[in-house]
Amino acid sequence: MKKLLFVLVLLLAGYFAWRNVRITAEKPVAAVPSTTSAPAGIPQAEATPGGSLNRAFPEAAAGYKLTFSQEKDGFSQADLTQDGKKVAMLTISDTAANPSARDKFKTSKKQIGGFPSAPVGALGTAVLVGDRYQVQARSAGPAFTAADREAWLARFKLAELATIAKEK
Amino acid sequence: MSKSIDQLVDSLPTGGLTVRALGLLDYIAPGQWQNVTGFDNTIQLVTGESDPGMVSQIRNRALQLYGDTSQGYQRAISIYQSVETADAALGAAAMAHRIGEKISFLSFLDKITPPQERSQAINLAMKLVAESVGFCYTNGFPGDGIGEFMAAVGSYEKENLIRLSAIITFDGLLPLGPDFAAKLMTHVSQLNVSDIEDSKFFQAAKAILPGGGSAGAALSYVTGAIGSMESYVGNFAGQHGITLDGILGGLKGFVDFSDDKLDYAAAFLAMSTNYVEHTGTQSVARSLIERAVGEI
Repeated sequence: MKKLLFVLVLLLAGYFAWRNVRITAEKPVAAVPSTTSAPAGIPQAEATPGGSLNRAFPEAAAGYKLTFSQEKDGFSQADLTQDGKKVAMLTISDTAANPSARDKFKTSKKQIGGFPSAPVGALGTAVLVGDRYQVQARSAGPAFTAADREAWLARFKLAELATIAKEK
Repeated sequence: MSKSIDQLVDSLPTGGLTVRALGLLDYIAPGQWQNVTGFDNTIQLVTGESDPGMVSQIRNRALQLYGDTSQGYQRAISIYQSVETADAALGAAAMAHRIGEKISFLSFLDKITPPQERSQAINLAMKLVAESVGFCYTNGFPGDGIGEFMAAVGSYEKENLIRLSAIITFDGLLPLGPDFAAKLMTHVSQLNVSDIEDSKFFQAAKAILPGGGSAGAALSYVTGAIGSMESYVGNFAGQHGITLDGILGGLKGFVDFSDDKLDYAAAFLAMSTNYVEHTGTQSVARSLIERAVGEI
């Protein structure tokens, strides 16, 4: 009788162990990598809506066209085209949801429109407005130079964006 | 969520029927679409950055954003996947219908499968709805999104453009003929709630369609969406030079059919390709990467 009970307990334990393993295995893949030790930001869904960021984008200059292409929580993007060809991508993002993005501006020696500027890789240039909003210009090809990026960053309504940062 | 976006992009095929069928549409917008596979490869192509450290930062941020269900990218992928499941089922039904017509002892198949033109038109409507919902989940545009969607569709390029061209060609022109837009409108205007409930696409995607899973809300969304797309879809083929002659030659290179059996070819493509999911995955990856590089 004891043996039978023992086997039964073993079977039950085995079953629960198996179920546990199965449940763990079936858990959705965690797509969020534990990246750096940077401070955690606010949840993405609570970042400044992209629609509010849209108003800080520049007006298109002659020969250029600006088409909004993505608008999400804490992010807005527009494509800059010249004669129908995409030359650059312009974005504003709310770094409150990804604070490590501010790190590159700490050693910044350059300013655009009175705000610290930093390169983002080989083809991007960014400014940090009001310690919160990152405005970035990214060349679609080498013809749109670093000087072009800086010129377009200066065309953003950076002061207005700083006001949004203060409202937050 | 079963697979993350990097796994999905890494597992996209570099060849096969889907890629060949999409390749046939290159003449519509030469060079617009390249079959870019591999997530890191896509990052390099989209951002122009090749430094491994930079690519890795972009990848991490992209995966973080994809993993956040509130940001809509996973829903877009689900929509594109659901429409393919429904499409394969329709292809099989269309084949059964045809076989039922041809072989007398299988004539019951003819009776149990829905009339061809109507189900093809509903399939086209579902694909277009999936396109609009998928686009909005990927790129934003809150609210009903239709007006903004149509403005953005005007500047469609790359994977988006090739996918819309494929929907219009393989799910419109091929099975329904040159007046596919008129047929689409006729059948969509006669849709009722039970058509929506019976739709495999609706069954698979109802939880993430506007209207919170109600067939009635989905019906009004479908009729509204298709109504606002009617002229655009009708003019799309003409504007982009899409003609039956333009694709039939290329299609015959890998599908065996005669010119009076275009619905066979359409059914075969529906069953053996998944171009919406394929290019949809590429579109979501592109938007995600463009955002990630802007946010790091």
